Amino acid sequence: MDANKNDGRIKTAIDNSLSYMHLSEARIQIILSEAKGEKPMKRKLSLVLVLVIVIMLVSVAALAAVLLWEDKAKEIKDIEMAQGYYAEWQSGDKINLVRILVEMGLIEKSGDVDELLDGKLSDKDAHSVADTLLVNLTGSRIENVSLVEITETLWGSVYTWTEEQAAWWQQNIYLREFDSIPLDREIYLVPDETAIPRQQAIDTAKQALLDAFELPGDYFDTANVTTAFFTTHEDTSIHYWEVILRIDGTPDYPNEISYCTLVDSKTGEITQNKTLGIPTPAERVAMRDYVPSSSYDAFETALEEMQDKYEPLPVDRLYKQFEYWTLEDKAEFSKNIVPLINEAVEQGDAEEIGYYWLAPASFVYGVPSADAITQDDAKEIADKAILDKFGISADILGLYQNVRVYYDITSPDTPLWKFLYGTLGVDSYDALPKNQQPILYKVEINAYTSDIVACYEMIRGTQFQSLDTYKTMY
Amino acid sequence: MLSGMDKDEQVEIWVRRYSDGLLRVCYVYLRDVGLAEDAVQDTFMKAYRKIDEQERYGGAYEKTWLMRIAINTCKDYLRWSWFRYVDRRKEIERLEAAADASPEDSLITLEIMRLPFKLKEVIMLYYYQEMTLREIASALGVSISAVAKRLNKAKDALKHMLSDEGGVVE
Repeated sequence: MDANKNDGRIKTAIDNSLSYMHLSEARIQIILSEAKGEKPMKRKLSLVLVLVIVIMLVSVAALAAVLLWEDKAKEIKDIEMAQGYYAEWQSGDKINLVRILVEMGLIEKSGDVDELLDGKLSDKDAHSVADTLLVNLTGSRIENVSLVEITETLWGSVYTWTEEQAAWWQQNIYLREFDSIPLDREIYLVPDETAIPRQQAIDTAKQALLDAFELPGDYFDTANVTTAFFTTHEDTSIHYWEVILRIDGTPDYPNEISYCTLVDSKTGEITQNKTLGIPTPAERVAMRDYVPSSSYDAFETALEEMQDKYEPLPVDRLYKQFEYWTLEDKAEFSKNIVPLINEAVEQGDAEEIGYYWLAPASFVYGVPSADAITQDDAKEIADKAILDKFGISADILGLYQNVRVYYDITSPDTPLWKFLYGTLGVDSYDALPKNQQPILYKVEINAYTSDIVACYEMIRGTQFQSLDTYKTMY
Repeated sequence: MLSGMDKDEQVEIWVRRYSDGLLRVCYVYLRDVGLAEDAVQDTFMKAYRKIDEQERYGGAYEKTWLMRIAINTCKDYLRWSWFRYVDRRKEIERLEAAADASPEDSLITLEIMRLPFKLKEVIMLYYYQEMTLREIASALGVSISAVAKRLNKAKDALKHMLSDEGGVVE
């Protein structure tokens, strides 16, 4: 590769592709205003302003406004879902939004506003006036104005929302758009009487961090604290206080340093959640000090050599992933790489290796012998098995274009063809009926007898919860 | 104060000089213009608060320093659970591109955005921000050899689409 030429090409490509992207003058003015200590014009609310809003919330008028917003936000979400972000709305919907915001006192009445609300403006002028009002309100570019942006002008940044606001949003707005909360995401709750107080959770998290990291006692005294309260799909009986402590950086590390800690809201004890990727402070220290074994290094080197055989496939974007290796390479994985994985696991590297490699390492892969039915024949049987068992149409099954295939010889006398059916890219996923989208299919066929050994459906994401469930992907 | 300027003047110069570059880097991380603007805004506010430290850090390296703040701000955005909760990132395939960008330009940019996080950031800093290995190492808080290793990996990952003739390999 001609380094100089390609250096230039990358810069030129990014410049050309993102040339439309400039920081808006409105945003620049916000930054300069904040920097000069003036009251921010819009958008980013200072801590003082957030506190003012919280205090306001106790007043009857403000409470009414919040309730009004909660009511109207659902209507706005419906329009967003039907028409897209604000910029794409029809003028009538934009006028209705302005009317709501005027009622709530977020937009001041003026001559232009009156004309807009009275329907005295042409369609073009109505768009123009409404757009200007929303840009001024949110401080965003018009194409980015959305329900979230508008709500942030009322509630402050999403990072500062209260537990009640988070739970309300998820239940009323998020679930309005999506059928369910993803399995690896938090289910936000309002703390109930069984929960320890927020401050107790913060104090517990601070102390655990001080102990684990051996920090001076006053280390978090000036920390910026945010919290969330949630449960997860894994076990809804466990409720978590999530405490995020952020402290100023140092000259060498000028950013804030974030510490995210979970506290069991019922026992008041420090805990962790692997699905969310949040360890305890002690585990975090262990991770910081962890040094992989030489076996792990050998595993990584062997893996890189194998992956380097694969050119990226820009069309279907199946870049170097194990699932798309050839049957021969999967067999080589079982023969040469799995022993290295096993050695590394014995030396304490299981966590570093992760389920993604531990799961396929629990099977032995091979290539079909002459006695086995062919992959094409097996796939035909698998297709038919799904159609017969689940009663979906061939057209629907045809959208499952991402079929991962394995030849499993863990039991040499009963080798299995295994097929995992998924979609390829967002287009085929979007084309599926909504009730079909969460579903994957798995079929296993005896390669000697053509018998269907297993045929079942799986819900996307459920596989990642444990090693045993992860194995169903392979 | 820096070079006899007051802090406000210094921030204004930074905003005018670096905001677009920072915005594009943040966009590649966050895949959302609004979030990228937030990140740039936060970057300048953090920079403002630490302007005196920057002078001690070495005023000549202000771009590296700002980039370091911006990158870590983006990483914080990605890490915070709130971000997971109100996730406004777009699918890579649905990102906007400038109307006058060629398909090849768009493809290269998209391929860069698809790279793993650690590779994407060195590509952006080395090729796009034209920072030296030493500057990148300083911005990311890693060794120069680690940067060089990541850069080589990133080049390997990209070479499939950048042929010696400068065309796109299909």
